[in-house]
Amino acid sequence: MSVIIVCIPKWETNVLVLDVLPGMPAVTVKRGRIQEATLEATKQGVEKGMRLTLAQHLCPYLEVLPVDKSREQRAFTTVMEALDEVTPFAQVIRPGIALFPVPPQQDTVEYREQLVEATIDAIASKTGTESYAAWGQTILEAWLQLENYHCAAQQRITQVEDLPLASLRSLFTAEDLNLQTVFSELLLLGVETIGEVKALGWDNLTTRFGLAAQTLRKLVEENWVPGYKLVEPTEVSFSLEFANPVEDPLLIVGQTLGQAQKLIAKLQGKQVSPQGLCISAQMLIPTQVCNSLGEVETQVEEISLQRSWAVFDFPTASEVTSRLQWQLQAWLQTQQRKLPLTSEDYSEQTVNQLPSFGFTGLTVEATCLTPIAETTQKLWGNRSASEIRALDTATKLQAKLGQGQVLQVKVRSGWDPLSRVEYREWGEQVVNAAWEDWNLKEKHRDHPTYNSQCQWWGKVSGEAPSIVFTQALPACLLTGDREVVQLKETGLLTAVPTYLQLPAETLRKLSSKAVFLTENQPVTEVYGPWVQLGGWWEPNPTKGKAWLRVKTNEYELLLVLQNKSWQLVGIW
Amino acid sequence: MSLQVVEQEPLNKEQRLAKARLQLVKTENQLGVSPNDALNGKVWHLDGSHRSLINTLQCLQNPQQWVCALGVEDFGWVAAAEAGIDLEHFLLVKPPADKAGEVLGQLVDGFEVTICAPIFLRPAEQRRIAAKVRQRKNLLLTMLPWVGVSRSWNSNATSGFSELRQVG
Repeated sequence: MSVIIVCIPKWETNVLVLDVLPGMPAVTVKRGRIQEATLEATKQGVEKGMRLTLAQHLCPYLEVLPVDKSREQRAFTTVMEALDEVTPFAQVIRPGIALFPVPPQQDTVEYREQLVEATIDAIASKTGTESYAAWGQTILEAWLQLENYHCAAQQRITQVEDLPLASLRSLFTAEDLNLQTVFSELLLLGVETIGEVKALGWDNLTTRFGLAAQTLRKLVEENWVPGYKLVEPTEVSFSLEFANPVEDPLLIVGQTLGQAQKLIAKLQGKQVSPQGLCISAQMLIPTQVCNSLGEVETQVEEISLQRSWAVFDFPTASEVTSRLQWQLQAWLQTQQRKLPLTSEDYSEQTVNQLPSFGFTGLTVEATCLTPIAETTQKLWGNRSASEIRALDTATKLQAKLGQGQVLQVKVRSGWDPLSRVEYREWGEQVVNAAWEDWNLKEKHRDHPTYNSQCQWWGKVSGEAPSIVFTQALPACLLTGDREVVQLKETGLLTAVPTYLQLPAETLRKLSSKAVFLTENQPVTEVYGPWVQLGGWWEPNPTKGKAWLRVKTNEYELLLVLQNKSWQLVGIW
Repeated sequence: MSLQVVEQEPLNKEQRLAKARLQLVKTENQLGVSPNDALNGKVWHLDGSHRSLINTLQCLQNPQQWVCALGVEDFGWVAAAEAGIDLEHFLLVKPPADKAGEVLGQLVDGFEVTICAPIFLRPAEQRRIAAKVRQRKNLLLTMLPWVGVSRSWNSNATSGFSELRQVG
């Protein structure tokens, strides 16, 4: 597997621009001596290691900054964010140098070169910084390529063995004193290249330098390349089974609290964060059926229920149980409504005849596990205070109001403004249909017969109406002779519509939406119809529709013809 | 005829500042620009049409900002999505009529922008909610006027505000 190393030269100096104004000479000082100096300061004669008093003499307006060790790391997160556009597996060697593996499936020379270019472009566009990138089979090979960038053709090194030890210093931070000592002492011994280190023997080195020599050996000998570390696909879950059906959600929640705590501990142990929570349960519900003699009998049926919820942050055990409680209550309410008998009827029956109702099993599963590092809080937080307050309010209201009252809206792909809208409970995970991710337009863009203007047959064109009635209102399209306009078999209108007739109930509903129309409206313009046939697999299609855009003097209306009657669906 | 010369006393620092502020307000009014502080903390009413609601939201919603709508029905969600409103950060609440006032109180506490459909609220409740909005410096848009509480949303100010935000 190949690896790509990205290096931004003089990172320590580059990051100083974060804290100083453009063009201002600035330095960081350690023990009275200059540690880092900006380009502007260097132009005026300030150098690394110079005494501060001398530097201030050379440059009277010198800005002296405190040494902030985290400044380099903090600033490098911007570069890492830029690398996220190219690869999800970027790792930091030290601030200023990062590496990532080339996907093994696409490990070709062309792809590597493309990746290198994309990396440099991504960093340049995001940070405005010039960076160098090179690839190799090992880290040292890639590092060799980077070193060769600055050399003349004759001085270029061709083998890893010839790579000078001094060049490896940049791979480690100045704080890594043990390794820096190894490099200094080996240079004193006359050991200058990696080949010479190998000739000296690792046993000798390990005896002399201990752990630091082991680190060096790992880098040089083992050709260590970071691989793709994917989280195991196994889901983290817990299950409960009840001998008798349990009707009280609180009783179940009481039993699950300990399990939920273990689940969270397990997630923390695996260092993964769940993006979803799947709750599934088995319920026993009594149903009434007729036997062969025509008598009504009550039987018990077992049903399975399942729902997935999105998790916004790393969950706590109580959050899991409160979500569980809400879901169980919602299922109970839904199923109770379907029961053939009311609760009073149950109380009248004897205990022996009481049909079973309640939960018999329960599984809570944490899904979509992602490495915890990806979801950790960024420098200024992933969410603003107002966003967190909004999320909390929504969750509280949902717990208070019950199901179907706190909703989110999703607009899907489709034909008409009515069927494209989908409501889902607050926090419920969005499940996209497979066809929604096909991106056919993208896929077939290069096809010779591709036409971007083409759209599916029956799709209502133009912008969508601002009012869409979930329950269509009765309306009627009439000709000049007061005959109802219908649709021919060819998909065209039988006559040109002249009047739009609206009954009183429709007018009342419209006035509540601040739309004031009269009973008979003259039609000025008509667009369409867009015909949607019923399912071709149906022997006698009954779901066929025709959409029509009608313009009156003041408003533009969307009508639909279904079962030979016109209905008002939307208003622009 | 003697020429009468009136000498104007030089303005002090505070007077000069007040004059400059007045000039700024006049210019803002002419351009139809409203700064953020002037919009927030108030109850605004729209003309009741969904199109005006879409236009207003288009100007108001910041990226990653949550907007909540109470009791809004028959809304053109597709048109809203086409207008660039982020429905991922949009919450729709449909409480029962007897809890509407209480829920609206909680919503204006939690959300920076709240939309209230025509619901029945007593004047005392309206004033209480307006006080919450003022305290939180949030914004409440109602589809119908709340007598004595809400102000009419100025479309000029809206467009100016959006332009101002784009520049900023």
